[in-house]
Formats: sequence, C-alpha cells, structure tokens
Amino acid sequence: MDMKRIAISAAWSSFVRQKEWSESIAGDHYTDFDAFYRQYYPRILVFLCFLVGKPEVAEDLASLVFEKALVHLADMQAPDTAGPWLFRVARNCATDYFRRCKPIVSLEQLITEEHPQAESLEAAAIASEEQGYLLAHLEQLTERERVAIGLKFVAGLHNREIARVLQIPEGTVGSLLYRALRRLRAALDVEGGRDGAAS
Amino acid sequence: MEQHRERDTEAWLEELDTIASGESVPSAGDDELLQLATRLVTALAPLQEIRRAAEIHHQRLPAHLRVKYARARRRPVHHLRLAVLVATLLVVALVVGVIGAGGLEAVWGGATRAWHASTSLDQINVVSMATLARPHAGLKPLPLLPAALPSDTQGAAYGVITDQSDPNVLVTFVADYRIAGQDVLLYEQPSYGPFSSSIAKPVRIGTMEGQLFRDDAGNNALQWYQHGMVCQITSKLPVQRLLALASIFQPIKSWDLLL
Repeated sequence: MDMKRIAISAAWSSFVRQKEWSESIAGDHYTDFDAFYRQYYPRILVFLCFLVGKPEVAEDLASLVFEKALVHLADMQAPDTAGPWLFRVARNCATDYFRRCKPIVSLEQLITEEHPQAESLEAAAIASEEQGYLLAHLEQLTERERVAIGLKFVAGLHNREIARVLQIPEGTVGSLLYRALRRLRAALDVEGGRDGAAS
Repeated sequence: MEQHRERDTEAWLEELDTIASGESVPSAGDDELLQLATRLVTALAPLQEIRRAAEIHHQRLPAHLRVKYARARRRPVHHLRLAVLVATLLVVALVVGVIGAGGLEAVWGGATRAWHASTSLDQINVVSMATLARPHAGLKPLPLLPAALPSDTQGAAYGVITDQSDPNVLVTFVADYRIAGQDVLLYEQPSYGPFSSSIAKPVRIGTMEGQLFRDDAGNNALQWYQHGMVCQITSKLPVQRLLALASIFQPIKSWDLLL
C-alpha cells in the first residue's frame, strides 16, 4: 500500500508542476503567445534555414516547433529556458528531417539564390566563389559544430544561451566555436593549397 | 600565466561576439580566426534578410497555431474559476466558525443550499489543491470514495476544508484524480438530503438517482446523494465512465488510506 501511495504521489507532483507551468504560461509570463512567437519565430526560422538549406522546409519545421511548444508548454519550465528549449526542438526537427530525406539543396545554393549579387560581374563572381568555398566547408564540420555556428552567427545567441541549447557548460561553447573556426580555417587552407597546386 | 590565458580567451570570445552580431570587424592585427568569423558573417548575411522578412510578416500566430493556443489556454482559465469557488467555500467555513456551534446547523444548511443553488460548471470544475489542508485522522464525517480506481488512473490528491471552530469537522472533501489523461474532480459535502436542479438532466447511478450538468466546453458534472453526503464528479471524461465510477462509491472506514 505504501509503495502504491508513493507512486501516485510522484505522478501527482509531476502533474501539479505541469499544471503550475501551464498556468504561468497562460497567466503571468506569456499572456500573449503572439509576443513569444514574434520574439522567437524569425530566429528559429533562420536557424532552421541554416540547418536544412531550404526556406520552405524551414518554414514547415518552424511551424512544427511552435506546435510542439504549445503541446509541451510544461517542458519549457520557465520563460528564461523557453528560448533554448525552442532551439533544441528546432535542432531535433532538423535532425528528424535529415533522417527522413537528405536535402538536395545545399546552404551554398540557398544563399546564392536568396542573395543575387548586385556588384560588378567580376566582383560578384569572386565574392560568390569565396563565400561558396566557405559555406561548402561548413559541411565538413561536425553536426554539433555546425549547430554552434548556426546559433552564434545566424540566430545571434549568446554563449550562455547556446550552452542551454546544447546542454553543455558555457565555457565549452567558447572552445566549441574556436575549434569549429579552426577546422574551417584548416579546411580552407587545404582547399587553397590544392587549388594552388592545380594551377 | 593561467590568468593571462583566461583573460585572452575572454577577450577573444567577446570580440567574436561583437563580430558575430555585426557590431564590429576585426582589425588587421587580430588573429585569422576572427578574420574568418567576419567572412562567415558576410557569407551568411543573406539569411539575415530572411529573418528580417519573417520579423515583418510573422507578427501574429498563424491561424492553426492560434486554435491550438486557445485550446492550451482553456484549462488554466478553468482553474482560476475554481480557485474562486474554493475561496468562497473557505469564506463560508469561516462564517460558520465565527457564528459558533449554536447557529452552525442553520448557517450550514443555508450555506449548503447556496452551494447547491450555485452548482454549475462555470463555478465547480477544478480546485487549487495547494490551498486545501490534507485529511487527518479523527476528521468526521468520513467521505465516500470509489471501491477501486480505474486502471488508467495516473494521479490522485486529496484535500479538505474543515470547520474553523473545530478542525475535526469536515466541511468539504475534495479529491483530484487524473484518469485517462483527464482531470476528474470529486467534491463532497455533508447534507441532509439531495438537491434537485431544474437545469440538470436526471440520471440513474446503479440503484441511486443523480443529476447531470453539462456545458459547451465538454465538461460533465455528475451529482448525487449518498450516505449523508452530496457528491459531485466533474470531468471531461464520457458520462458513461463517470456513471460507472459513481456507481462504486462507498463510505471509507478510516482516513488511513489517504494519510
């Protein structure tokens, strides 16, 4: 009997916590979910664009992220963790998407399509080639390094927020970004050397 | 030496932050990784245009999310209404306590009638269990509980409101169950007889008579009189499940089960 009572009590206390958070979401903190959506949707969308490389897919996934937010309000626990929670869900959605179908459009293609160059043809070609190299080499980073780069350079998160998304210590975020940039630099150097050798 | 390195690292990370946010560009003397970070910002700049467009065009939740949000919000509003009910019951209990034992019966009868008269789904659905006291040994009368809880019961909590002048006199017993993913709330109050509402639908609960209140939000409240207690179960569960649950209510013999 005691065992049963404890089990019920544990389930109950978790249920009560969920209720309290649902109340706080609807009450004090996010009376207007529009404001929450307005604050995070653009950043979630652009982060997903970075990860999946297709704006229409990113839009679908961003919508899915907010659907999950509504269903799992309790998982966000508190407003200051809601943002990192959303980015974590966005990352998982992108991973699921990659599992289902490998995208045929690369980030490099996406950015070229989205940003036609307005300068002289020669300058545009040089800039485009250089950026193309850079973006192509992002593919060589590990998934976690890419996510860290995306969170920092695309979503504009601070290291503390990135740490919450990736669930790692804040100090490790700095190391991760440093390592990612170094690997990118090394990859570009190798590419440059190969080009030099070829010419 | 270690401090030097830490300071350098912090400075490097701060500079990376300002570069990533587009607030600054590295000087010629900065290390090549910061130069690379600047190139990365430039290469990824088109994505910021997508972000800016989203900021303009996504000011409000889209319709499908708005519907889901409305659903998600409905339950907490519920809680607020019931918190008001509990507050009312507490005030009633306080008044009973202030008037004293002499007038208790008359006041209690009136309070019970008032409670019955106000019984509607707008007012009785959910209660904030945190505001209620836990049951304790010696509290009377004893409430009724189902002989067995359904196998899909996920949680249960119990609370009581006692007489202000005598903490061993039960005024209201409240149980909050979680069954099949739905809240099932039980209210019981001692009463001299059943209450009949003109807006309720009469129903049979085994051999007993009961009445059913329903609202547009899908809430059902089943009320009946048994062993000197008016009992009410409120839930979104189907009526048949509530009837089945109500039919197996029986007086408990002691509080031991709930303590």
